Amino acid sequence: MVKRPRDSGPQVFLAASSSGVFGKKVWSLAPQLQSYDDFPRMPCDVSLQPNQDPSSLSAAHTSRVVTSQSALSHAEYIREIFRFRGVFWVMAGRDVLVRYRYAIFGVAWAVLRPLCVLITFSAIFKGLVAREGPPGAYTSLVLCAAPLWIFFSATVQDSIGFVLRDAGLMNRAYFPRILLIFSGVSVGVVDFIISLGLVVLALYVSGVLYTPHVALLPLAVVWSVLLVGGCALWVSTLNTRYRDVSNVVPFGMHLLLVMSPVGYATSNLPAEYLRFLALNPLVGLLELFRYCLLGSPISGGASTVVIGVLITGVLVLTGYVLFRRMESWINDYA
Amino acid sequence: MIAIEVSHVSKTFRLYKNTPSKVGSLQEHVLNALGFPPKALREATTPLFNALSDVSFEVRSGEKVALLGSNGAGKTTLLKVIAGITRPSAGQVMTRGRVVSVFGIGSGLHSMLTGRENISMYGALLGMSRAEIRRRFDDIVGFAGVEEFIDVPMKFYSSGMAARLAFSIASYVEADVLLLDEITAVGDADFQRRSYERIKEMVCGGRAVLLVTHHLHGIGELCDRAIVLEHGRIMNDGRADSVVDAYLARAARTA
Repeated sequence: MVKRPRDSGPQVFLAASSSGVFGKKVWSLAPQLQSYDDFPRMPCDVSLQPNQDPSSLSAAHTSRVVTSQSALSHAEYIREIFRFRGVFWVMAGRDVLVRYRYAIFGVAWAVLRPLCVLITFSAIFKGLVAREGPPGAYTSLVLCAAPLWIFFSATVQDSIGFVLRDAGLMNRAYFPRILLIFSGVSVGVVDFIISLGLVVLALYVSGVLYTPHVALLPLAVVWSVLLVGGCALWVSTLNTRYRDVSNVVPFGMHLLLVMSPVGYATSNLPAEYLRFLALNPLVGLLELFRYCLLGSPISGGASTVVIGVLITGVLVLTGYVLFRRMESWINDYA
Repeated sequence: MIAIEVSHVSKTFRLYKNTPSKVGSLQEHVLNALGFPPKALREATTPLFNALSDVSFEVRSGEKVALLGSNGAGKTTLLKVIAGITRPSAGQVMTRGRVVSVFGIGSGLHSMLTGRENISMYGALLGMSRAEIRRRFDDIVGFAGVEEFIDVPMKFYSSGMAARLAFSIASYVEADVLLLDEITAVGDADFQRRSYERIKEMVCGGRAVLLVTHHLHGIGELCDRAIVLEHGRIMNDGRADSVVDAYLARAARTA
């Protein structure tokens, strides 16, 4: 039996030996195992015959090396995530089911939650903020912001437990742990898209939808998912190691609600405040949603959006790097 | 054909004896960053626990190996490292083919989902395709004996039923490397007998099997080789019957 050279450094990888997709390091193993049939097999119970199903999640033809640190390159890691997509689908499906199964209103909560936000803000702020302007302007202002705010706040708060709550599963099988975060976020995405669709419908019916800009809406949705995903990566990873995070996040949410134009319009703000506020990517994103749906101009112009996009990008990339670095021991702390 | 190759594997945990309530907290890190307590003192006073130290062995395909040892000897940690669930602190493990691990204690199933949904989820997690799960579904349910309750959420299952279902799902996954951890400790007497028969079926054929058990009497029948772990080190490795005899003799001496 040929051993892998010890000097190839610490690594974990799953290599498809039949196609050798994972590069040179692994390739040295591949000729050992041309196909599943190379495994010597004795006559055995029929129910335990080799797996012939080509769509199988973890292909039978794999070799795996586990060492102290992951040595998968980022491209290999993404391929690994794709290979385990079946696990993602069942986990995301599970999270959606569990969220609504024992709720009387079920998926109707996707509609009820933005409505609650609307009522709260209308009751508190309408008289304060929006005394001028045409009737219904304040309502549509809040309606544009409500789906995003609920998606953001609920998912980031939930992300405290994205890794911890599935410690039982992590102790049972190998899979790229980042799938736990993907599946957690995807539940919020389902809600978000349903409620956003209904908001667009409501605005259209009441005649305030500014149709020329609606085509940009998918971009705003993608940005929202990236922003929430980046925050969820940070929160869930850090909270695995430092449970302090679970105490900080609710407070941070209060702060963000005040510092994001969910219940007010940025046009009322002095320019010097706006420049500072724009560092919060939610500001640019909310402005973009109002631009898409109501056609209202973006305060601070394109720079507000560009800053928001850049900060979101930094959040996602650093969150990913943090997760990759912590993934090797995340199981020992969960 | 070598199915499992464990080379110089160690797994070390820090024991935070001095600061039990502040394990890994932000407070600890802020204090440490400020140099309190001093780093040298901290490292000298933080005891390390070697769950595994320099463990090396190979298992060929078709070989059935029993892993023996007292509680805390490192058996489960070793299985987890081989399964890729946790990483070793040093050394490396290589496995060939599909690795399936079955842990007897705690079911890992989701209490809010029905038995049916859990079969899909847990099966997929263990590497079964949807077609495979569909094909095996009736067998899994039948073996676990939960036909009546298959559409009932798991939280209404008794712990024995949940454990039976978890075992049943795992036992129908086609594996090249099978890691079994105290799975015979599950269920009532009848299920234990049936699961023992099932394990006998599972271990036959070309797959490599690593089996942790405290039931020493059945080992000769299931396994052809046994490894004894003690304080994270391999104490004995050889033919199952002779190793078990030596293990029992040693246990009798120290008792």
